[in-house]
Amino acid sequence: MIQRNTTSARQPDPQQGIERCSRRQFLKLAGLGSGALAAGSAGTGALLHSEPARAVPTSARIVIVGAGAAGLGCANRLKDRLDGAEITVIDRREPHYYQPALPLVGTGVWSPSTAKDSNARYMPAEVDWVRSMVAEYDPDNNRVVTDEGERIEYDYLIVATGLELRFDQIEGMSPELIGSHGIACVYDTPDHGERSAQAVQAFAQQGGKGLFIRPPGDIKCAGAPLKVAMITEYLLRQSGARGRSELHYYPPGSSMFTQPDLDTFLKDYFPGQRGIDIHYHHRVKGVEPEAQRVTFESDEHGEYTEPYDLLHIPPPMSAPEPVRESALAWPEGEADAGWLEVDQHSLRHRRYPNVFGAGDVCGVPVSKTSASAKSMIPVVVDNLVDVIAEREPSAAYSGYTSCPLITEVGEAMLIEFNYDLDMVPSFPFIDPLKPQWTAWVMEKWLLHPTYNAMLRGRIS
Amino acid sequence: MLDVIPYTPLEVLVVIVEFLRPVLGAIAVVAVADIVLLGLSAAGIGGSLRGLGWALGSALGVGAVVFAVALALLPAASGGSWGSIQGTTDLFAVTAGALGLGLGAAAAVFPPLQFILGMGAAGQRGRHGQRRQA
Repeated sequence: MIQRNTTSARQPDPQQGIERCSRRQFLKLAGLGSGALAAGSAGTGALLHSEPARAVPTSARIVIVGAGAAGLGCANRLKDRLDGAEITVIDRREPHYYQPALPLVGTGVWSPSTAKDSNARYMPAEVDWVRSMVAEYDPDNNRVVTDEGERIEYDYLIVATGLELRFDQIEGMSPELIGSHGIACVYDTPDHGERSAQAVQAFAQQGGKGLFIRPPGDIKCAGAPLKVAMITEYLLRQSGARGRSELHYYPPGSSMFTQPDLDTFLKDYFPGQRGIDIHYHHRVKGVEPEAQRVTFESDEHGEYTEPYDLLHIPPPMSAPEPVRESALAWPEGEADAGWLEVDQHSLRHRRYPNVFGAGDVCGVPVSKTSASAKSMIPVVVDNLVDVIAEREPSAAYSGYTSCPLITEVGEAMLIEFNYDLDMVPSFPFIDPLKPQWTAWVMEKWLLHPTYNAMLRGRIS
Repeated sequence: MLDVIPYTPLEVLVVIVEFLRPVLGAIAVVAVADIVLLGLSAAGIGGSLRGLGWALGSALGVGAVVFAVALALLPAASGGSWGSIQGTTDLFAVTAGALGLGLGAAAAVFPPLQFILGMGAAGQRGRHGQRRQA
């Protein structure tokens, strides 16, 4: 086992660059634009690289686990807020996936290149990037152990690992099946998204029976199964195959969406406006790819099998195994068992006060989106800086999350809400329950730049 | 509007720069060329500020054409269609977008137009002066 001396291990990577953001800000910022264009070309670089006037001096060792949206955003903000801290980011993954694009990539509307990026572009040069994965958390001894046997000690830890897709919880299913036997899934990589798109596009030309699954439990981008169903319905209409098709949507419980106003809207909109039948209380038990059949467990009908021509099947999701098997996870019996046990407002661990969480891994009662991550990043960074400066942490996460719910190519709905499940629209004059082109344009042209600004830690 | 949102002008600028990042180099080249041409016109080197009204009118004409084309094509360029435009908000958004592009185009073409028209006016002055001397 290797003992890592983080005080002397800084090795700036020549490929390291800069980048990430949130939808709410983005939506608001979207209305403000053209006047600043001219200024953009003159002196912007210096402005964008300006640092806070008073960075907190410290020699603290900070380890960030994960170089996804939350991890990179935290790293970029922390290096500006602290003077002298030793920041280490642990993640083997070189590619960075812009995940909000995946539903459109996975249905063939956008190309896979839209979702592909590189972590090196956004990794700050000031941090030590350890290219391995954490295999074990040892919070009692303030250290993590990588899958290469390296032990890395810390004074403060930020867990931002994202989550794990659990294809293993569906009998007969594996990610390699995506794109074959009519199986689609937009939750995996852009390459799998491309294969998923082939299945969706083939179905859109031929028509047939399309089944769309919403898996049980907490999942990231809970709007994606809805988007894929609606985009597929749109593509069928465009190709003239809608008349020879039937579409079915299977939620695991009695609701379509967490936010009650949208839930009510969708329960009418899906069958009434889009001709998509809803079958509540259904959970997928297994898939027979060769026979193109799926087995459901239903509260009403028990276990039964359904044939399909297209099956969009997102898997259940959980925290990565090293987190859920560690002392950092919510214990069994809790609502968020297995996810990172953090206070839902401060995002500070409830039992280990030098540990914070950001992004999808957090066991908090909201859906997991990049908008959530964007809102969490400044809270985590502010509170960690306060702790280092021996101040009382005061930043609080409201539970803000957002979903540009694409109803068809060219139209979307801007859904934004918080822990109280209240709608918190950034632009009150945009009706969140009305499909609109304006919302689509924001998804198409403005969300990605805002996301990139979030990665670079330049937006809060 | 800035006073009712919790974001700074710098953050607005950050998103705009991220949006334009792929073409930022090209925009910088055009901006520098425009500034240089405007400076030459103002200083009377090569060109002049004569015919300012014509140059302004012509630039606004170009902007109007760009506005009209953008208005027609923006929904399709976004992947949607004019059928996607739903109500006042969408109509305002597409009009504002087209207006922005039109004004941007007018601002970009004004300096070279002014320089060319000013250069012509300076040439005419030179020829008139030579005729009077003859």
